[in-house]
Amino acid sequence: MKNGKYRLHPFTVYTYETVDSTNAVARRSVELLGASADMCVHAAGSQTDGRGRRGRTWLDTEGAVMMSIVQKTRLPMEKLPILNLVAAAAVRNALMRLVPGAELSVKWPNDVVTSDRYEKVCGILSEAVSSDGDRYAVIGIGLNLNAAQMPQGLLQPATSIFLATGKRVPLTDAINGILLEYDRQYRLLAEDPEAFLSRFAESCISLGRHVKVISADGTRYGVGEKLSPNGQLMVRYEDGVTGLVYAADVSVRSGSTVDEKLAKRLLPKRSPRSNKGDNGRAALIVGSPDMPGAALMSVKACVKAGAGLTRALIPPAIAPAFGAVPEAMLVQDDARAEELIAWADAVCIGCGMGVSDRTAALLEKVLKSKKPCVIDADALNTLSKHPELYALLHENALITPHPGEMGRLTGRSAAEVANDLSATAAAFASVHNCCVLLKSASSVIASPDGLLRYNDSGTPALAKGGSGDVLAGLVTSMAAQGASVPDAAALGAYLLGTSAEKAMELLADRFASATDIIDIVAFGLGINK
Amino acid sequence: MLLLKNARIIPMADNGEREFTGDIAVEDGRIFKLGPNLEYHDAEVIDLTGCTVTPGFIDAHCHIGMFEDGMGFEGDDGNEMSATSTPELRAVDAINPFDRCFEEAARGGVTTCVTGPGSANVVGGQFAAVKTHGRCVEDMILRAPVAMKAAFGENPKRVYADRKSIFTRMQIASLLRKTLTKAAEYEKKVRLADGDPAKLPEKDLDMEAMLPVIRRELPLKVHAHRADDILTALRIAREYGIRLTLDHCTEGYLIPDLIKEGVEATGAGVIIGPLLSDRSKIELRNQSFEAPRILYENGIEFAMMTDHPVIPEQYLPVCASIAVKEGLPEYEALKSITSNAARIVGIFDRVGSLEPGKDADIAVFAGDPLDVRTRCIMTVINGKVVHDERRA
Repeated sequence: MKNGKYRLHPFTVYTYETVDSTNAVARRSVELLGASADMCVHAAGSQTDGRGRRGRTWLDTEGAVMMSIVQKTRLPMEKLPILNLVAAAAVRNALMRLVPGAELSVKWPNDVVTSDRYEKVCGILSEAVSSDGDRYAVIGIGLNLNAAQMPQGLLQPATSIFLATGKRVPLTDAINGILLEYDRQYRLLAEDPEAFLSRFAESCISLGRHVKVISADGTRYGVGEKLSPNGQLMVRYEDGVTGLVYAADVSVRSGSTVDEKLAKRLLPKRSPRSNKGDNGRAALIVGSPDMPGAALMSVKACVKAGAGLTRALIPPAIAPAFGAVPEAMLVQDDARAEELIAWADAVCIGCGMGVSDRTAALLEKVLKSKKPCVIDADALNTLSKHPELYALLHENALITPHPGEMGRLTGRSAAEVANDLSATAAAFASVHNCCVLLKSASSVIASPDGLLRYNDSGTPALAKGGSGDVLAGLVTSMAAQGASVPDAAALGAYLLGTSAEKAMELLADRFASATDIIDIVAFGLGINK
Repeated sequence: MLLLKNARIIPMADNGEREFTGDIAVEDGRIFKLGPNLEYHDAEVIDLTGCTVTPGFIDAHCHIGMFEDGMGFEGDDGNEMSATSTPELRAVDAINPFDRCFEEAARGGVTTCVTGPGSANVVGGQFAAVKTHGRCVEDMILRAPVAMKAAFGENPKRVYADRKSIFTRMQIASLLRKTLTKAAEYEKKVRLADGDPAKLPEKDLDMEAMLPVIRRELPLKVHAHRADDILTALRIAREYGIRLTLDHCTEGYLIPDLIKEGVEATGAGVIIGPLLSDRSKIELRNQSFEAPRILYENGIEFAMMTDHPVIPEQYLPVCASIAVKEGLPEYEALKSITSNAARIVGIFDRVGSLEPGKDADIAVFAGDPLDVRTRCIMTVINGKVVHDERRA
């Protein structure tokens, strides 16, 4: 960008080839010129000392635009952050209008991201400067416009408008479009703050989604509920308490909530020419003479969800019950356990087994094999009594506790876990290098690399015995068919929930039972079409 | 995006560029960019090869929509002759958007009119700047209020003499001073109350309307033809520290040095006209089309006005043309109905030049805009083509 100046009513735009930072230029202009710095914009194609929030360095890429708006304001100090929202909305709207195919969203409070992958294209940093008793806002906008590649090692996924759409935008078009839209949004805010906030909310990915709030008080998890009249984010934390977030990093991770789009992407592909051997071998070590039902449900769910071959290691006493699942082959001799585990692509252990030395011995074998595995129910209760087995957990092992079981595994009460689902799951996954599916109305899936996913599908009808067994079967089936363990957990949870929702359409609340839901799994799998 | 291409563009901006051939991109009602060879993926392109484009014309003083066309008293809503001082009256409550003169104005390239109450009252009420297209006044408003009307000279004397309330120019000045003094007192009470409801004065709509005048946020729009009336207005402006525009200013050209001094001291604007009419009363006997040239030669910026319905609105550019015939440079004539008009009225932030960010109010001419034979073939208001007679 060349050094120059032009009018863009109501602004005057100064352009620079390179500056230290446009916010610094803007601040100095207020200090030197006072009122005549008002409504001036400083824009540059390159900065030598750009800053982001919390003093982070803003890396400007080739083809970026940095601009800082100076605006005299009567807004009280505590309301100034709302100008971040104005700028974010301006950038989003202007670029969506200018660039065919651009689908952008705002991320509270100060980022613009792509709507599909939440990759950052723009960051905003506003500051307040005083001069002669007047207050000026300096609103800095850093936009990745025409960059053909992004720097490596960024803190959060980023892209440019060019990379996202294949279209290049002249710098002045972007500047003019953003400033005119800023002026429009600012006037909307002044005239009708509610309308401004509700329009902002429509394009804001931080609302209605699981968010991680990092502030001076630490890291908390919750759901972004709505915006306050001052533009602060109201978060309902996992303990049920709501709080306003004033200034903090609020991250929404790509695919954090498992939805149909993500589920479709995660579902293992099936070739039309595939045979049963290609579609996964699942082994389930389940059941006890007292609990044939749990075993039966997990096996049936595994078969229904499409595993090519399903085998179950069960006590001989309950074999007759498996007449209901003719697809499953039965192994009735514990001596063949290692052979079965070696054969399988994924193993499930625990449903209806009871807590016993037998369960502990079999669990040890499963863990030592390093095979992808699902550790459920009594296998979890056994694990909590055998801390020496924790060391055997590995990144392809998934534990599927409800808050009570998680409490026993971590030495906390079920209530404590329920009030702090995400952090508990994330910590366990990180400390024990395994995957966690912590079951709740909003289930959390954590993997050792720090990725968190949430499943909100499901109905209260699932709060019944057997639902967990079905889930274990579904996850095992998905893992056997080739999904990674965290993906299988997400898929299983999503399938159970959507299948339950589908079942609810067909059956009344009080009638839907876990076995009914198995029959509906085929509908849930319709996502594959 | 609307893209007007290949036109001779006279932007009337301050940057020294008199004209160029190129394109104007319009987005969401505002000018997005000007320059050669603009291209946008979703633009509606209108080729204007051979045409001349100017900012939509601005009439700095008229009564369009308030003394309606083809009617008598039924459509006369401009002079509330029931009291000598009526600051609370608002033009927006009288403007009839269905007056066909708005459409005729738009077809003539006039896109903004500053319209309001007449000159019967000493303080007449609030003017509005409106666009010449829209179905309700809210759609048309550019800024309201844009000025507070005041009147000197013959009109208040004539109207109020038989009511025994005004006989002399002394009384007119006195009534204006009384209103301004009361307003200054009111403003002081409001200021000292600092928002405390217990200390605020009882709400007075007339005084509320005068607050922005006392605070210099709104100019007093002064009807003054005769030189002595003009100077009385300037005297009062100095006394109260208020802003004003000298409207009509018919004899201003007789005392250009005093006008210049007054303008420099008070920041007053000069709006001259209507010149294309008869000298129907004593205070008009020195009316002359030489006035614009003489003011220009004395370094006084001015706007020209129609006083519609005195001169029909669409003939605003004709007034500018005749001023050119009497020696005013063409560019100055165009300024008097575009940029200068906007600046003097206080709406140059929105209209009056073709610059990025401004309202997309654009007039397109088949030839020279100041040739009275030239048709305005297309008019754009707020980015919308409201008149289009291009040959297919």
